[in-house]
Amino acid sequence: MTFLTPLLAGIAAAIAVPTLVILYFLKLRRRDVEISTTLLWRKAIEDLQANAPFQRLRRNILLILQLLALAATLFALAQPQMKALSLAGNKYVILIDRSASMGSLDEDDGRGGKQTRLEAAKKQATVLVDSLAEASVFGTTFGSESSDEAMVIAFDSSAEVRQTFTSDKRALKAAIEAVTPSEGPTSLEEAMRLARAHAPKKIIEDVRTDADGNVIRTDYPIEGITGGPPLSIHLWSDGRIPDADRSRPNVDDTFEFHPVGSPKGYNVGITGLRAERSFDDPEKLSVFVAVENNEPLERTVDVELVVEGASARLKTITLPAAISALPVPASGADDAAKPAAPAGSVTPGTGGVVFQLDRAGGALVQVNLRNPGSSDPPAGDVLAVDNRAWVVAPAARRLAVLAVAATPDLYIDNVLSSLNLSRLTQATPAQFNDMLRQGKAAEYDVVVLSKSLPAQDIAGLSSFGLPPGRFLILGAVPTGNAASGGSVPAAAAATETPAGSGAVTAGAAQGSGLIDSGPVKSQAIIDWTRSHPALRDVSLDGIVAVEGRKMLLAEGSQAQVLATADTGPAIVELSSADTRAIVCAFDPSDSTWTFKDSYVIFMVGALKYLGQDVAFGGLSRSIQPGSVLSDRLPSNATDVEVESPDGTREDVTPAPDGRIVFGPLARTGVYRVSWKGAAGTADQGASGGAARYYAANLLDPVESETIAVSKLDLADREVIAKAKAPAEASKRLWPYFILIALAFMLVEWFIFNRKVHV
Amino acid sequence: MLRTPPTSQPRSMEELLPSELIARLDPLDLSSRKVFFGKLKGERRSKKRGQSVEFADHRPYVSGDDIRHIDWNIFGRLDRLFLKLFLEEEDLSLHVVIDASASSDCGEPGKFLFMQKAAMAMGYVGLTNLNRVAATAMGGLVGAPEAEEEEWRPVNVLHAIRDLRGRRRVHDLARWMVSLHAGGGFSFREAAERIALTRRGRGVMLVFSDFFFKEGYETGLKLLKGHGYDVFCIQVLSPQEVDPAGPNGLLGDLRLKDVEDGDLAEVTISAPLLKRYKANLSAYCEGLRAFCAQRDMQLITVRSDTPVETLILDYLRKRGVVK
Repeated sequence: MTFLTPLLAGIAAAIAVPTLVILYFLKLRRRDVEISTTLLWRKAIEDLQANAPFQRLRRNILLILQLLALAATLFALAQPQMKALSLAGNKYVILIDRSASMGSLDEDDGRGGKQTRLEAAKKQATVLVDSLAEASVFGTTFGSESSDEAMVIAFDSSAEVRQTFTSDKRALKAAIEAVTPSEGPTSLEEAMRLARAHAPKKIIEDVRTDADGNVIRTDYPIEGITGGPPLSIHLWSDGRIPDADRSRPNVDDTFEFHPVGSPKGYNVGITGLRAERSFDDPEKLSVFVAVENNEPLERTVDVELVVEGASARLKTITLPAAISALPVPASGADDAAKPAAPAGSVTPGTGGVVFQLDRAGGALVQVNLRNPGSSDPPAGDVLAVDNRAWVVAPAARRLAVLAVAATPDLYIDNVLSSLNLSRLTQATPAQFNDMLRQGKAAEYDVVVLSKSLPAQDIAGLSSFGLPPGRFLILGAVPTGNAASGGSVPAAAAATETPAGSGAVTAGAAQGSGLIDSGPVKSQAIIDWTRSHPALRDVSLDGIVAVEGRKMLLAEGSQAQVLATADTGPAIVELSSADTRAIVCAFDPSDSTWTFKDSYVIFMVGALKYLGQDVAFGGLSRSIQPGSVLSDRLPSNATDVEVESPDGTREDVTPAPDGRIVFGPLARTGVYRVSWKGAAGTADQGASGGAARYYAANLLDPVESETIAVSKLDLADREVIAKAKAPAEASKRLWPYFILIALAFMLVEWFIFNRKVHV
Repeated sequence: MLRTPPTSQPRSMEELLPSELIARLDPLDLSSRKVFFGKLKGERRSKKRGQSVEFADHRPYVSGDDIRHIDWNIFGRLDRLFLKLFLEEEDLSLHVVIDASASSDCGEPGKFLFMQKAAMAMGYVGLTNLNRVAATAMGGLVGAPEAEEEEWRPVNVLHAIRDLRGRRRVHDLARWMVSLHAGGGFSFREAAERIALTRRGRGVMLVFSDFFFKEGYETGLKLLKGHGYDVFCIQVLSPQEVDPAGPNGLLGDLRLKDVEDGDLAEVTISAPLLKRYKANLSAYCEGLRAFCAQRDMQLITVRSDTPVETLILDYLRKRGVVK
């Protein structure tokens, strides 16, 4: 027990106690009463005085009670506190995991029911807040002023500061109480960064003496270096944090992990969902569902397919039992590749279902897990979020391809015309630029550019120097903003390195990340990525390009190299949110490639790959909760409105280029974006407006793995969970002393009355 | 316990002896457990053989006897002379002693008023039945009730009225009684001595007092008893003395002052003190009762709030003082 204001209480005691004693003796003025005889009274008094010590005590019992009441009051004045956690003035960071797995219903709520892990975490965090030391209410004059401060950060895949450092317990509790569950995945790294960012900066004191001899003190806070006392980081989570090993608290900081959830939190969840249309027969829709079971028992669940709100298919699958992963010591490169399995983790039993549908139109497909033979969710399932998933399957359609070439290219045209396309248009670069300016180019799913690039003066080009869309660029290198002058190779500001390997320059990284180093003769492909969809089953062995561009990668380039020639990267993929391009540094017609089968396979694969999420799948319309819904609407879209799964509608103002950003999304479900204006190629058109659907699904094996763990591996340490009860609360005891004083007063009053009447 | 307010002083015989009480007292007569010699012819059986109508005994005639009392029927039957003896009826002496010290003037209702009423009632019973009645006050003040309190004269140990006989003297007794006021103190031993010395005849003695004498009651009672009286001690206690915490009782931190000798006692009224007081009181009364029983005296302890008729018609009748 500590006292916040012992001095004040001492002063008060020095005044009050003697006063009370003096007053007590002063007040004993006896009333004179005449009685018939004192004979019997004298005798009674003599008898009572026979056991004098006790009687003296008894006579003074009122004084003693008054002194006790006064003592209790003085104790209350000293503001005693029961302290359990640590010294005053500490800085606490309360991290609360609010990811999807924290919504698991497996914590006892103390009333026989269940509560979510997040509710339990919030309660425990509130207890910690209660235990924070408080400053004396009487200020520094009589006691200590320093009080613990805490900040509250709620995180799922992103982190959010709910309350910056404060000692206001009410604000902290309100911030904790306001943490709502999200349905997204978990990422601790950002939360840790936020915590460090809010820690006080290291301050360097600069003391100087100016010309007049005055001492000038200046404090310089240093960004990036934290000062002040070390943070005490408290994490409430179920331990399902895939990036925990990338979180590195400061060496001085203490990190405490308060696990919530049960190690028997068994769950069956959908961890994967994809809808695909066959390239050749787009009316055939395949829905792939991956299901995981983390219970060490075999489980049977029904997988229900709901298309546009109507139950379409039901399949029963049996999932194998999960296998407990024994803590095997890490050995070799195999283990290093995959993230270290947290202690107590299991290898879940996985299963999958494929539904085949004949559906030409677009469809909103929902997949539900059900208990076999009933419409209830799987029995004993702690997490409900991953029992449902949605996928937006766009209407079946074939690709529209625009082939741009100064002169018709025989090899390209032949390949394209042999494909089952809805539309194939030939255009010259000038026509293409006109189409771009008129906005007509957006009608095509894929544009094949042969030795040409869009004019750079066209508005709305991305940093790649390309308009939004899908491009297969042959024999030209888009350099983006850094370049200038259409298809003319840029006079790269880059300094070329002698070797043919990836040149490193500054300045170019702002563009596409590619550097066009001018024409090159005779480049031979020496290596390629076999796993890329465009190059799957393709051999580029022995291909030599007679003419081509020498392509280099700028420093920090995000471009993905698919094939490398002796002069540098030969085939790269550029991708951003709204632009995707496969760039081949040479035109195949200038190489030996056109004589090989692999050319056709590459062309078809590249077109299919580029066009897939436009026409064949719903991947780009599938978002994980916690991330941001970001998409591009037709540039003339107005009155954009986003309808969330819970029915709330929000207006979104699109950027001039039609880009909208909404979120981060908190809930799983189907988000509907509707607007007034032209519909895109894959949108549902309505009268004067259009709508686009986005499915937000958890689809995260880590979150569906709901078994709580008690150990967390951080980058620099291993954190073992603390005991369940986080801390004894530091309680202000003075109200209790006031109550005791009141009780003494009541007893005194009672005795006084009793003394008088009987 | 507390001093009685002066308004309770009786001013007339009617206050002392209301007519309703007289009506209930008329059928009563005094009695004594013992048969004493009387002085005058009265209505009381005497030890003497005398001239009443009630036959007592026979005895052989001796010369000089009054031949009027010879039982001629026996002479005829036995041819011997026997004298018929008759019981003599004589008067009974009633001596009422009142403690008029200041301590009697306490309590609510006042002890002294109660004693006056009871003594008056007993005196009335005695007078109406042709008994000799004497009344003695121990201590106290004497003065006309109309007079100012300052004019009252303190009694030198005893103040008595004697040899009252017959209904006519009731008013004399009442006058004497209302002129008597409680006050001052006295020595019980000395008072008892003087009573014993000035006593006339034998009979019943009623002693009204609270018997709280600091010198002790033993010597005084022995002296009273020693001269052949049938002594009844009537201990009158005020309700406040019996239960100090009751209504009009004592509260809080007090300095108690003895009204007689001014002795001071500082007390804080508390439950244990009250308990102890009550234990002392009952022990004191029990000691008095035992003392009286050993010396063939009777003790009746009454509270001053007891109705006088209850005392006389119930308590005293049970104990044979009246019949």
